[in-house]
Amino acid sequence: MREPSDDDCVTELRPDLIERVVTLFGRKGWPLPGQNLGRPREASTFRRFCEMLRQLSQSEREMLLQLTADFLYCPLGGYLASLHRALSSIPPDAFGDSAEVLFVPLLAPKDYGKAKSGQAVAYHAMASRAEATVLANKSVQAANDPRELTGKFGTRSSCQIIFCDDFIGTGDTADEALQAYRQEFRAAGDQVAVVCLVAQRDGWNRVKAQAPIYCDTIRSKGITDAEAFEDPAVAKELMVQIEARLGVAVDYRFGYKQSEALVSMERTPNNTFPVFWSTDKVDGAPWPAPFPR
Amino acid sequence: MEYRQSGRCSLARAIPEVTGVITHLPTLLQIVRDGGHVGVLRKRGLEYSQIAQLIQTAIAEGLLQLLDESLELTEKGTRALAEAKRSGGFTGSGGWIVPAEDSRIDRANPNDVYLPGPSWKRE
Repeated sequence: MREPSDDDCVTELRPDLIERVVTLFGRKGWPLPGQNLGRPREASTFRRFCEMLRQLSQSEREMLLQLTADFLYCPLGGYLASLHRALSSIPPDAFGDSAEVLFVPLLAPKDYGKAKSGQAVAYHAMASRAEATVLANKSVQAANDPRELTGKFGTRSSCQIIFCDDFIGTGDTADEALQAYRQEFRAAGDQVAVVCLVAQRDGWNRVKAQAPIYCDTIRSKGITDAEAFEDPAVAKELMVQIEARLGVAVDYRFGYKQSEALVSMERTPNNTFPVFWSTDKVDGAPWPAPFPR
Repeated sequence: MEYRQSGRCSLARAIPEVTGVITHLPTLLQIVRDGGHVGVLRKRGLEYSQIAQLIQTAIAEGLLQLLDESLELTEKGTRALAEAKRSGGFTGSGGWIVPAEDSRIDRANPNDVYLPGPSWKRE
């Protein structure tokens, strides 16, 4: 157990630290104070980040700043460019003789009928057909829901099915979606692939074992796999300390199933460390998470 | 250079978005000189984003400089701070005496039981 030091007391921020946050936000291209970005959530990210730091000890702050340096924020505005990169990574001959390409949201059966990010990605993928070489000379369509595979698209033949989502964390959802496809929706002549914008390496590996996966960014675990920490064990201990104060439920410690993600998409995945997204009350006030879900 | 409460100094006119907070510049300079924190500015109602803009303004004006992630007063900043004190930029002792925030403790609940430490002795 680490011995408590003078760094462990919580005090107001010093101007130097606020300036470091400005520099960090500048490097990341995140909205800075005084910039009019029009989106209230983004405009207040800096304030909430500083308020979060104020409630941490000096050593916790340093650890959080290290983690934030590696944080990926990809809101809706960045989806198209990221999707183009993911589609461009598909080898030109990957779809073989398939004359049809069908983009389908990567949904677990429990989410059928719900509005999910996978639908937005599937729609934009279909709309990007003119810019992706791999889609040239193919009939490209998008489904709203995997159930359309036995309905509207039930008469397909020799079709390349591409399941789409913006983020893959543990790979649980992808597992369920692919399993449901194999059991209920598969047709003779189908080929399957998965396209996503960002994936955690563990989830990516799980999907890769079942189908080709094309992804813009693959992310490693924020502390365990990070080279930035001299001693990851100390960083983990500090995070345990913070999460204990936040009252994070067991399943979400270090992110859902300990994903240790440092990612915020249009919505922050629960795979990300909760200190960045949890707004549960701490000492009677909501935690000022910079990337709330 | 003057940083008076009127908010009509040339610096404030040039940077409209910081007009409202520019009057706190002398306090910021003093905080940096003393290695303090921004509690005083926060108690005056400034948001972190406003304090960040104030710091940026001070750097842009050459009053503060960043050395190895540490803010320091420049010579110009030192002169500006002295000038602000002479010209009444700080009004009354409350304007220039910075509370020792590090020594502040949380307010105790009236129902809390207080047990004095071992150094306490009854006279």
